[in-house]
Amino acid sequence: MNSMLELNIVPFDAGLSVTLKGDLDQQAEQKIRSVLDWEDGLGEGRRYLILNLHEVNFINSAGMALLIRIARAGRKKGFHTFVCGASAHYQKLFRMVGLTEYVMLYPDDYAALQRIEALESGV
Amino acid sequence: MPGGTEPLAAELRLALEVQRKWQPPVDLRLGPCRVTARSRQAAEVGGDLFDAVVLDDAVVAVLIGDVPGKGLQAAFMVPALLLLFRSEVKRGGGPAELLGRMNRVLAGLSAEGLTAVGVTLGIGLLDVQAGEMRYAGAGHPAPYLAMPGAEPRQLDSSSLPLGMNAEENYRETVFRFAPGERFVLYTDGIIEDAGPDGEMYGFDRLEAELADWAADVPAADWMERLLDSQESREAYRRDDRTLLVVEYTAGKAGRRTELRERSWRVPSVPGCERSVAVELAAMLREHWSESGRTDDIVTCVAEAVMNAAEHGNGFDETKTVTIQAHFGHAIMVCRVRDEGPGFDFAAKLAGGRAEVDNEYGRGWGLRLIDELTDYWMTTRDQHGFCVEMYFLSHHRQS
Repeated sequence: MNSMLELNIVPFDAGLSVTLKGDLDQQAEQKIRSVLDWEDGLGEGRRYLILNLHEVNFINSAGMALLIRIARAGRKKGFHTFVCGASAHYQKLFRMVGLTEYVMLYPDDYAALQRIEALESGV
Repeated sequence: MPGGTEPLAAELRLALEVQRKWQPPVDLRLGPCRVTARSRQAAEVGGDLFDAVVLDDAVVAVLIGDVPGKGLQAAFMVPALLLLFRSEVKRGGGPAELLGRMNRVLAGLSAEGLTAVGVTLGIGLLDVQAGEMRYAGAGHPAPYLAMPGAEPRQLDSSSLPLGMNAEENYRETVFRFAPGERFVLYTDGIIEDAGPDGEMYGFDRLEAELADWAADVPAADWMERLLDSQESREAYRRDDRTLLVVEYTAGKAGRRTELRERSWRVPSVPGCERSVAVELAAMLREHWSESGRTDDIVTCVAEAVMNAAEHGNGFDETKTVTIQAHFGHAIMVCRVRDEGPGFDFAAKLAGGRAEVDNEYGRGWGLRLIDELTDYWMTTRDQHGFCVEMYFLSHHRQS
């Protein structure tokens, strides 16, 4: 019944946009790490990571812990993490577990990119 | 000014008068629900209290209790407790939460005589539309569910009386009325009422009266007859005697069929929660979508199953996790059972904020369950360990 996680990574000027599809649970870590070893940073001076959860239907506490670990690693390696496309329910859960202390939530890629543009231009 | 014992006698008469004004007999009807209470005072001013309140035309709250002491102390404490109850019940929350809030107020008083013995109290909240009762007791004698022609069933409700320990947690029991069933609350004065030879009335006699209570005998008549029969024993009574009965009299048979049930049994392997989550979500969307709780329930059940498989059964594939879901008009109960030894949930809840990265997430499942359920508890029996979660529908009946 598990829907294995698929990832689609699209680089942009200052960062990476990663679209996740499937379940974000305890099995997801290995899959993400196989294409993006976040503890080494994003490479090529990228400073922003957008995680698009629009096509993620199931997130459990292990998945949320994984998101926090990525965001905390980002602080050490100098990249900001943006999460977008999460449903209202999961946004509520993210607040409950404290994920929002580490990531910024946006409704979609476009809103996250606008914020990044503003940050880049010093606004 | 009169001297000698007259002022005291006058004060006690006044106290008795005050208490009677606060405690008129209850005969309350709301839709299919009927609450009846009768109380008879002992020779001294006693400490029994009872009440029934209608909340938002949808919920009936009932209260029964017993305060320590007699005379003026009891006369002043009873109205104060009734005021506290009426104030707190309107602030919302289930009966266990209500008891917790009242307990903290009473424990904060540090009144001599109160912290030693405490106030026993039972609170029930009846959803009139659904016929569902949530009950919690604080050191009060366990209530009965009685069906005409059947042995009465006593509900488990053990806990400390109010005022003894500010940190006491109270547990709720939830049940749905069956056709013809009666919920019977009483004070210890009923049980401990002694005859001329000193023999107590006792639980056996009360249970026999409950079993013999015919379907067509009104609650008020049954109570008056029981109280009269005790008084026919012509003993000196030192304690008040109070009975409170909740009946649910209409529309019961049809509602019972609305209760739905589903169970699953899954092996303890990583990801075993997903199949349950998918099927549970589909079932809730089809039958309970108006509750607005589908996402909360699925998240909590998935977390509980994950915990059971990993921590309870240690991902041992030969051990199973059992999930039961019952839902009716207004409430859903989910039980997730494993074969493990259980856990200290307070310690688990304290986790999850570790500074070490690989510790992140520990305890979050329970934190989510704690935040998203209306009430949850853990139990253990010979079959294993069980997490029991309660969810109330957010849908209000018009």
